Amino acid sequence: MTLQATDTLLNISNLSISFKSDDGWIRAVQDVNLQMAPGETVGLVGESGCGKSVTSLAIMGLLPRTARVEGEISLQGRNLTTLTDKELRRVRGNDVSMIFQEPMTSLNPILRIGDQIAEPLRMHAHLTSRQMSERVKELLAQVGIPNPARVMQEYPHQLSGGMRQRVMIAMAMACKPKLLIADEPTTALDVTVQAQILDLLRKLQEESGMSLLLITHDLGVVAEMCSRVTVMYAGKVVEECPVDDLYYEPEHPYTQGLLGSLPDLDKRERLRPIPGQVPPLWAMPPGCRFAPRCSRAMDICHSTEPQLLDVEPNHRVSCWLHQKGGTVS
Amino acid sequence: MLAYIVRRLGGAIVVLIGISMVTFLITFAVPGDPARMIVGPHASMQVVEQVRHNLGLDKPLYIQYLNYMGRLLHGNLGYSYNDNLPVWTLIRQRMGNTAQLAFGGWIVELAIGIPFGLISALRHQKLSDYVVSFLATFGFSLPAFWLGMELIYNVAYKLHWFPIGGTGGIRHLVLPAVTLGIVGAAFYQRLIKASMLEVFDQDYIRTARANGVPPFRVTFHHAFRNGIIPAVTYAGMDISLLLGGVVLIEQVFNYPGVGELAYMSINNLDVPVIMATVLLAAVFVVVANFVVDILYAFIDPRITLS
Ligand SMILES: Nc1ncnc2c1ncn2[C@@H]1O[C@H](COP(=O)(O)OP(=O)(O)OP(=O)(O)O)[C@@H](O)[C@H]1O
Ligand code: SF4
Ligand SMILES: [Mg+2]
Repeated sequence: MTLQATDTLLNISNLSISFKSDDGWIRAVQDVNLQMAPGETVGLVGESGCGKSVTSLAIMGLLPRTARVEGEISLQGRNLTTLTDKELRRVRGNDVSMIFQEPMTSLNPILRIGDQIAEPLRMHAHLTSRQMSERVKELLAQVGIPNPARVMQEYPHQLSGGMRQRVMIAMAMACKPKLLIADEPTTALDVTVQAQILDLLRKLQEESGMSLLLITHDLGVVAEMCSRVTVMYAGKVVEECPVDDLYYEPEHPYTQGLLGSLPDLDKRERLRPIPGQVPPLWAMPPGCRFAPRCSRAMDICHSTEPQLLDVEPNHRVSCWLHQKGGTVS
Repeated sequence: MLAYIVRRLGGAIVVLIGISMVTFLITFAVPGDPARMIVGPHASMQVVEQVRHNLGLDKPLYIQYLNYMGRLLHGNLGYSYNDNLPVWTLIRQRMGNTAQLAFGGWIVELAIGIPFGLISALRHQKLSDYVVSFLATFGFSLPAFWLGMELIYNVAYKLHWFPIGGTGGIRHLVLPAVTLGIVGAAFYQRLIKASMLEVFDQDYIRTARANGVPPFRVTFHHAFRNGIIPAVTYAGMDISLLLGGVVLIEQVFNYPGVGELAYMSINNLDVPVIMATVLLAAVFVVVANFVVDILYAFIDPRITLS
């Protein structure tokens, strides 16, 4: 069963992102494809630096001007990469919103909480100031903040990290987005708070029917929250599959490595690194990017890049072990 | 809050006592004899001694100092050696003029420095950044004395746009304030540029943009108040620079302010006037810094006055 075009909320195809450097363009993300259906939760996992944040910022159109984006990102059939700044601003915080890894610094220190949550409403909804303040209160209650009327008047430094992340979530939910991108929303928080924030995201997602793109290091979180998962390595997608397949039949050696280094899924541990290091952006191996660290690498792996191909319906892998040309040992 | 004010007041008193001691010492360390200055070069030694005795200048220095401070506590600033008028009368006439000039100069500094700094930050490493940075640095490198003269000659004398000097209203204030401000604006331009560039890089600016906020509102609603905080801090220090500038500018524009009075009193070794003008400047700086701190707490909710 493949997704029909009409079922697709977000369709990223052949997305490449490069940054300008002194030695020319450096490609951080290459040929990424990703589809999301309405209401779906998709996990995006991979080691630090593999391009998860850059990909999500590209969806939001928030990359710095030194970045070049190629390929297509469409939301409900509308290509976001060709929109003008003004058109894109109407999408941000409205159809798509995002919460970030750093709740401590993502809120403006000198603006009141209520003022900040109202900002997307001010941009996208036509409300009177009374309606706006009612809506802000409602949002704060919805994300589980006690005493919304008081918290509205407070400043970020008066709140804990977990509370601030709730505020960020309230802000992101303000205009009822179709897609919420959560970039490692719990990494900076205490373990108990992490679970609360994830529960909250799940609850909000069920209530609102939005799609959730959950970026994380944490495969335990993926197991709990997501229906499908995309695994990235060094700027490319290496495996994409339903979440059950990921745990029971991971096909890519990198994915297997990630799982192998995770002793117990229920304990929600962070990924323990696979031996070796991610190659730097300016020195990508010519063949499979994982080859220098792969215990099953073959000759062809070092010379030619494998393609991302279906091994089963809805399960794609980019590895010579699974395509013609590689010899299965 | 009350505890804070009391503590600040205590600090201010210590500072003022320190400054009064140092100034007193310096006036006696410079070569020159106030008694001789008062009576003139042709008076006899006897007259000089008489004057010295009447003024208490023959007493040990610390006694003189204590006498001075004792009178000061009763609100008595003494009499000018030079023209025998009460020092307070001299100062009172001029205090308002100088406060206006310093404030006017500060406004001009901000009026140039803030927009220039914003332009530099918003158009970083583009032509307008370079132009504006050059202009600010150019203004800073002009000698205030020369700039003032040029303005007087071209704008006042030739074009008759403004009076050549003196006081009498806002028109008299413009040229001296502009001279002061042009010279000081570069500091604010650099400060605002650096702090705005830093603010634009912050996560909360990314949050604002992620909400679809347009650039103008990002700059002014989300970034500006954060970016202005270092400038407010700097303003406290700037007050003393401005007062230094005022002494010179008042000379150039023949502007009857405390600066001009201070300058004359130093030339005449008119100790009571020197003491009073220096202490007045110190009080001004202390009060200005207090206002700045309150302003600071007002702008940045993380700061509490305690
Ligand atoms: N503005 C930029 N200029 C140049 N290179 C950049 C820029 N932003 C990101 N990169 C590079 O792009 C690559 C991908 O970064 P990205 O932040 O997407 O990683 P990530 O997968 O989110 O990692 P993490 O788990 O640490 O958040 C990194 O090598 C990074 O150095
Ligand atoms: S293509 Fe080769 S090197 Fe790359 S993951 Fe598969 S087996 Fe390993
Ligand atoms: Mg990241």
